[in-house]
Amino acid sequence: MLFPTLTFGLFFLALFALAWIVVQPAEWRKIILLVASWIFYGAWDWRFVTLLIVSGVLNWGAARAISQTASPHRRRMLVIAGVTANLTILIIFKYYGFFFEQVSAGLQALGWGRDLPIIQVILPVGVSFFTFQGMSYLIDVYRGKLPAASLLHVTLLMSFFAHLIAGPIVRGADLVPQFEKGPQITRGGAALGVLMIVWGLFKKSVLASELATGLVDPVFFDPSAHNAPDLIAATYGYAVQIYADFSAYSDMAIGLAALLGYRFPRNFDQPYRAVTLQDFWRRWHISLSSWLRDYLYIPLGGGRGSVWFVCRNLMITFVLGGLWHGAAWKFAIWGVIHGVVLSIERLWGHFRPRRLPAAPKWLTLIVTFHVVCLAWIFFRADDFATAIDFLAGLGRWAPSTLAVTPMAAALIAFGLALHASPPRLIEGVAVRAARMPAWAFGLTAGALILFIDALRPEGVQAFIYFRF
Amino acid sequence: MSDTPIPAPEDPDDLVARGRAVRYAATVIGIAAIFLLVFNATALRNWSAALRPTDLNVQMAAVAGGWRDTLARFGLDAPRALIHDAWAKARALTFSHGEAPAGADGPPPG
Repeated sequence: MLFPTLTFGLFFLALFALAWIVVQPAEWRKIILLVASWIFYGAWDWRFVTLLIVSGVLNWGAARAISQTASPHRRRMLVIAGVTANLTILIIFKYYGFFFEQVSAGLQALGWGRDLPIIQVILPVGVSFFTFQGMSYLIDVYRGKLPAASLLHVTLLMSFFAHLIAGPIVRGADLVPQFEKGPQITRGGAALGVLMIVWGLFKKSVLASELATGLVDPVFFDPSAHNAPDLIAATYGYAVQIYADFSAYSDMAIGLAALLGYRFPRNFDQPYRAVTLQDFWRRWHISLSSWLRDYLYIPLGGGRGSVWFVCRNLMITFVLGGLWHGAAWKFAIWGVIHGVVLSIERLWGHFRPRRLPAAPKWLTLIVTFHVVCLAWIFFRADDFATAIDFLAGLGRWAPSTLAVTPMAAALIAFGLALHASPPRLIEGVAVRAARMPAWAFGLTAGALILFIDALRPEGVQAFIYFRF
Repeated sequence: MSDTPIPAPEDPDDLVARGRAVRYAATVIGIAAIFLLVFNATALRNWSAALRPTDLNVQMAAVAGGWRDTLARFGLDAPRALIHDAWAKARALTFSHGEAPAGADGPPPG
C-alpha cells in the first residue's frame, strides 16, 4: 500500500475518522492504530507481520528485563543480547544471501569451488528501519534516557504505519511520551500536515517519477550507450530524484502522523545547500545520521582522541552506514566515499595552515554537491561494474544520444532551486493556510491534488528507500 | 523532542482547542475528498477498474464508471484533461525539435 495511491487514501480516510471518534479510551485508540498498521504492512506480505510482532515483543521484553535489573553487568549483558537479536533479524533477512555469495566466490577463487546451499530469503519491506528503531529504544532504556514502555507502546512505536516502511527513524524517547500523553493536534499543525502530504505527493509523483522514467532509468540501464552530456544530466537528475523521492516519503509520513495527533522529527533540511559533507549529514536523512552518531560513532570514540582516531571512527561509521542500505559492494563504496571525504575535511580542519584564507562558501557548496553526486553514481548503479562503466563514460565527450528533454532539464533545475528557497518555507505557508477558512483550504488542497494527479505518469513506482 | 516542523499546542490539556483543530482538519480533508470525487472521478474509475475482479469490485467499478460518465457529461472532467494534455505536450518537447525519446511520454492517466 503506497502512500500516493487511492487505496492508501481510502485507508487513511477511514483511519482518520476512526482514530478521532475513538479518542477515549486511549488504549483502544492505540490498538486501532496498531491493527491498522499491521493491515498496512500486511498489504505487502502478511507473513512479515509476524516478524514485526516478534521484533516488538523481543524489544519490549529485553527493555523490561533491563529496567528490572540492578546489576550493571547483567544490564550490559541484556542490552548486548537484545541488540544481537535485532542484528540477527537484520542479518538473516538482509545479508544472508550476500554473505554466502561472497564465501562462494572466495572458495571459487581459491580453487575450492563448492555449490553452497544458498537459500533465497525475501527481504521484508522496511526491516532496516524497524530493527534500528528497536535497537535505539533498547539502548535508550539501558542508558536511562527512557523508562521501559508497555508492550502496546513498544509494538506501536515499531509498527506505526506512518514511519514503518521508510522512516523517519522515530526514537522511543520522542514517540512513547506522545503515546502516553495522548494525541495532540492544533489548527496550524493540521494545516502543515495537509500541506506536507500534498507537497510530498508532488515531489514523488511528478518530480521523482518524471525524472526516473524520462532520464535516469534509461541512462543508468546501459551507461555505455550514452555520452558524457547524458551521463552528467542523469547524475544531476538522480540527485534530484532521490531527494524528491525520499524527502517526499518523510514529508508525507510527518504530515500523516500530524493529522493523527503525533509529531515526527524533521528528516530533511535542504541537503544540497550544504557547504561541507559534515553539513550535508546534518541535512540529509537526519534521523539515520543522528542514529549513527548516537549509537555507533560516539560509542566508537566519536570526535575524542587524535585526528587519525576520529578518521577511523568516521570510516567505520560510514562504511556500516553504507551497508545499512543494502548488502552490496556498491553501498560499501558509497559509504567509503563519504567516510573518506569526511576524514579529509577533518584532516584539513586540523592541518590547514592558519594563514590560508577559507574557501568561499559558493565554492565549497559546489564541491560538496559534486562529491555527493559522485557517491550517488555508485548508489544508483545496478552494480559496481555498471558504476565504473558510468564513470568511464564521463570522459566520452560527444553529442547527447538521449536528447535530454526541456522537461527533464526544467525538473532538475526546479529540484535544485528548491534548495535556494527560504528555509522553512512550507511552515510559513502553513501559517497562512491555517488562517483560511477550512472550506477554502479544503478546496485549495483538493485542487492541488487534482493538479498533481493529472500530471503524474500512470502507476506509482515504489519509493527508493522501500528496498532498505 | 527532536527538531520537528509540527507545532505543539500551547496548552496540551485544552481539549476544547483540540476538538476545534480536529473539526478543522476533518472539514479540510472532507472538502478536499468531495472536490476530488467530483473533479477527479477519472482516477476513481481507473483505480476501481484495476482492482481484482471479484463480484464486489466489478460492481464498484461499474458504479465508479457510471459516476465518471455522468460528471463528464457536465464537463467536470475537463480541468483534469486540460492539465494532462498540456503536461503531455510539455513532456514531448525536445531541444532539437525532433521526436521525444522513447519512454519520455508516459501513457495518459485516464
